[in-house]
Amino acid sequence: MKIALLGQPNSGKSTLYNGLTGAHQHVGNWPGKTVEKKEGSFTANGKTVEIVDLPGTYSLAANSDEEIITRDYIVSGEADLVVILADASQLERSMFMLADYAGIRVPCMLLLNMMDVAESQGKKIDAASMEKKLNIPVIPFIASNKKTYDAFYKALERIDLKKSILNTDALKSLYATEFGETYTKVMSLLPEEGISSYSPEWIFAKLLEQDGVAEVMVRSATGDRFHEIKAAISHVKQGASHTGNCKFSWIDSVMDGAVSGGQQDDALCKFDIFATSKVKGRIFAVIVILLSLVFSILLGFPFMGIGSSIPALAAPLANTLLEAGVAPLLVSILCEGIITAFAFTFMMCGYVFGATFVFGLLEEIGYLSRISYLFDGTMRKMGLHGKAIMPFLISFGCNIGGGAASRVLDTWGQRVLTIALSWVVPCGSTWAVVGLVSTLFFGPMGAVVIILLLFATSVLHLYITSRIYGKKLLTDADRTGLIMELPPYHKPRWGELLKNAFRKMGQAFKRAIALITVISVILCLLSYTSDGNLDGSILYRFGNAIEPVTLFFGLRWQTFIAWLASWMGKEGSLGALASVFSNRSVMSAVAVMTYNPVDSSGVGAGLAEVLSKPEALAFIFAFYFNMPCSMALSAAMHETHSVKWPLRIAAYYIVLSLLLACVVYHVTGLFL
Amino acid sequence: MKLSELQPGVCGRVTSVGGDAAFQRRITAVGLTQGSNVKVMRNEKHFPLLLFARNTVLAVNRKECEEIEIEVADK
Repeated sequence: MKIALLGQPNSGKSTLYNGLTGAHQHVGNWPGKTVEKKEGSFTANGKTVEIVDLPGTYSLAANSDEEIITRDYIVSGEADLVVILADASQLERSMFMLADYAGIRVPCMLLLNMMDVAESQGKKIDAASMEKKLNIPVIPFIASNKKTYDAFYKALERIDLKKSILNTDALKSLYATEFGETYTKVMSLLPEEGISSYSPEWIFAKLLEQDGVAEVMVRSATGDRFHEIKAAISHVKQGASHTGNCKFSWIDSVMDGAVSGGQQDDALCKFDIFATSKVKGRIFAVIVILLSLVFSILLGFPFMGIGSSIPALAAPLANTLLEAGVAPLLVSILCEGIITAFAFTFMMCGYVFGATFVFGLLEEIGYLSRISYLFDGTMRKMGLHGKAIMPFLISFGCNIGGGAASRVLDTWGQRVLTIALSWVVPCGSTWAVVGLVSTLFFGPMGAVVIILLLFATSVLHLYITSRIYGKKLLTDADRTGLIMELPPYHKPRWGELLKNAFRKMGQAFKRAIALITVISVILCLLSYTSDGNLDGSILYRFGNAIEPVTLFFGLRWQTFIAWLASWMGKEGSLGALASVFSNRSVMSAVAVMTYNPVDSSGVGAGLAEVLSKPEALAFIFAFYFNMPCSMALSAAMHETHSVKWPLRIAAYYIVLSLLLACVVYHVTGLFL
Repeated sequence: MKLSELQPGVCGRVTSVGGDAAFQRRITAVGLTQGSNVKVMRNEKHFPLLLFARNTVLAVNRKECEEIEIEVADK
């Protein structure tokens, strides 16, 4: 048996999917589309069930790739059964998916999720009565509690696939009442048996909703009669709103007598009156955000600790290998290149873990949507809307997590633009380097001025970048304003949150380790000399050879190498600086510096001797506005399902960072 | 009158949902349809409107709210 999961975002679909499949899942792409396809399997009462997680959408309209994929898949017949999820705590609104499905003659069942929340609202649901009206199984359960899955397994076992087709008689008579003759006329013109699995009444509604994909389908199925159909519906205005009203009336009729109590108080709860207020709410939100960032870094510490102990293996291992007669070049690649890559990746993943957990918590309890509401205006200035705030916030901790969080945006164009803009946000490691270098050259007060300058430039950067890429990435359909529900507050499910954070961390690690290793080994090879003295390395000669060019941007060869090294990880810059000034091999210095960024005395003295103040400023700007680390790049490729766009944007960042450095260098050179 | 002009605390009934078909499909999916009841919870300049409709609190962009016509109801 093969089943497909269908439900609105926040209906608990992914919780159920993960709960059912555990480790038995894999992720691919829908053919030809930039949409993720999740497939897996589980065992219910001894039988293996294959499962497809359909993209989370609000309806089955042909608004986006996600919705078209979902529709096509449902009628393709690949899945024997469609499992539709509704959120019992907001039953009326979340049953819209079922109402939009009504008329598709593919077997289905309805799962009423979050029954615990519904019960705490005082809501009582008579599933049997709903089953009777709908003619399909209706199963109350809790996606986050595996003990309640038994009812679902049993339903899968006893379901009669031939009979479990949604009863749409009541919906049909609602359409007939609302549209009168138009309905009768169009139904007489449509093929009586419908088109593929779509019933005539489903097609009728979609035609009124001006669904382009459905129109094409009807045109080819009805031939000459299509013009008559078009003529019959031409006088209906605001069709989608009318059919929508019928669908909600139908939902009301299904719920009538089956659902009682639990009417949410129509006023905002006391906390929400405070949390959504203009001034106090915003101040509170900023405090919550700052605390969240602190906590996400604290949570990452244990992983960073483990990561930073990895290089301790390098020296003993290197000695053993050298004694065993292994070629020094190989030892260097293994002990400096590969081990450093692992340490780096592991530590960065600590950030991913912390940020995913803390901001996942904010989302789960429902507070994040309040932040989206409060800062919608800010995001709108960049061509986005409130939902894009989450990726920006996470980026202050880590740009990798920020990229992954872009998933909440409605369309692909919005997702890519969000990622492109969130790269302006400096991650935690960027601050470490900027703080160190600016204090070294300009003292604490000077550092504050520089940070303010960086912020001002960031605003300008965001403005320009959002104009450039907004034009390319956002079609009119992408330029929609915020339409978002503010869910009731939930108790967090700690276990699920932890598991999710570990999963995200594992994914980030897997995606990045190969790329980081390649970069690391290349750096290692370029800086390799048989005597350990940097002067003989390719890197040294290369750096010196192109210094005349890089100096135009205000970068000495040492800072240019440091700028390059930040592609690997932002802290990599510190290590590179340490290396070129201490004449150690680059990679071992990168490793050491990363774990003890405070131990910078050697770098400090060296830097201050070689660099002028304008050159230091040029480096700070080039570094700060450089593309994020390659892990963030690979995360962006994964999220956008595109190689071209992230690379284009990365190239744009690289060029712009050098240009900014150039301007800063030449302008400050006039009076510093 | 337009939904965006409603004062906080005022209830209304949707009489018309304008805008293009894509917007209508989107706003329908969250429950704002012709004939539905809606209460304005917050209406601050430069902010989306906070609405209460079909037992759900919704945030809807101001410009979009200008497309929705309302007749004021009593309660």
